[in-house]
Amino acid sequence: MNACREGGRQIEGALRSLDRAYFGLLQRDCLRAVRDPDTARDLVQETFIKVWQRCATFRGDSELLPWIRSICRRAILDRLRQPQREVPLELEAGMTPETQARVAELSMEQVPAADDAVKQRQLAACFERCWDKFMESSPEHALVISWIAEDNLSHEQIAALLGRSPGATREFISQCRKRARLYLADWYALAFLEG
Amino acid sequence: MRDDDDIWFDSLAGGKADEPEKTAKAARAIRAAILTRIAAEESPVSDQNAQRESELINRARAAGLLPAARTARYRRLPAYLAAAAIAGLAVTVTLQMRTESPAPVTRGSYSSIARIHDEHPKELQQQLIRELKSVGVQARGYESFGRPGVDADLPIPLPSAVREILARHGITPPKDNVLQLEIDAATP
Repeated sequence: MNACREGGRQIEGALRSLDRAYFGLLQRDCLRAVRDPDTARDLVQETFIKVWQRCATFRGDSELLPWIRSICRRAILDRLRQPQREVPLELEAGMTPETQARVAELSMEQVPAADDAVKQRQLAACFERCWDKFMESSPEHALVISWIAEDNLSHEQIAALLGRSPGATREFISQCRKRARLYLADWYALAFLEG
Repeated sequence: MRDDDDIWFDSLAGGKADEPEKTAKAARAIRAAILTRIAAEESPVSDQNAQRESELINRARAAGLLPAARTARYRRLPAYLAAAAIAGLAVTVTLQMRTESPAPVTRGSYSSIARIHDEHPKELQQQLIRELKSVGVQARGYESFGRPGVDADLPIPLPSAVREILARHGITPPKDNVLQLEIDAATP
């Protein structure tokens, strides 16, 4: 980051170091969101360019990786927002009667009791299917959920990522919860009802 | 007061493991499934990939973070080649001064056409178009009597990114922000 601030001839070498140190990690994050290796590569390089353009705003007291990651995540969200418009979801909208029944039954849920390997594998496979569908239909919400779980993000951090006010962020998180209940309904049923 | 969304959010983020509500249990289960899924992914390898690094450097160059490659190439020119280039330029200028040169051709504009010299006019034309497009300027290429040219309506006021690109190539910003530029082959 010193080379970034000072500029000059070291820039090229420093950019190469950035690529060697963080490309793999960021590409994995991007692939999770966009599923296409070329788009993921493009997003990571876009991130490195933005890191360079914003290096003056990096505070040395925080860690570098979380800062780079937040830039990468904003780039991912910007890319996801390009072709489609977010549509608010009412809890019951788009649910089949069976799904609604399953969701209603969650009130009787128990702690997942997958105590054997077969059940664990079934659960994992079911989650995988449901999650893929969630990512396909509502990528922004699914990604934010996974980032909350992965990095224990606060409301403020999510608001900064989304570029929303605190109130709008709360509404977004509420939508995340509703969509999770919809798209993960099969997995919920398997995890909580068949224990 | 905390509502169900708050409980769900806190549990998803790994807080309050002893939260008894069903909402918290569901969120904790999602968290566990997501973390398991991530852990099962292949570990990223910090590899070195020359092609990828070159792409990044070119991209940084196009974004104006690095000087154009052309500049670097000139910097490496041996002294005798540089001297030859200067001598060649002097001969060209002398010849042009002796010849009656026609008035600059204008294409639907009162502005004059700027001229620059380069060893690789076609390459420089394409590079200029790419660089201008990377900062949002719709630049078009054309050819006039075998000379590659670039035509672009520059934004008013002229953004610093565009000004930097022009300066890097030794081009004076046009007064009316209509860029008409033709590139002569530099005499070796």
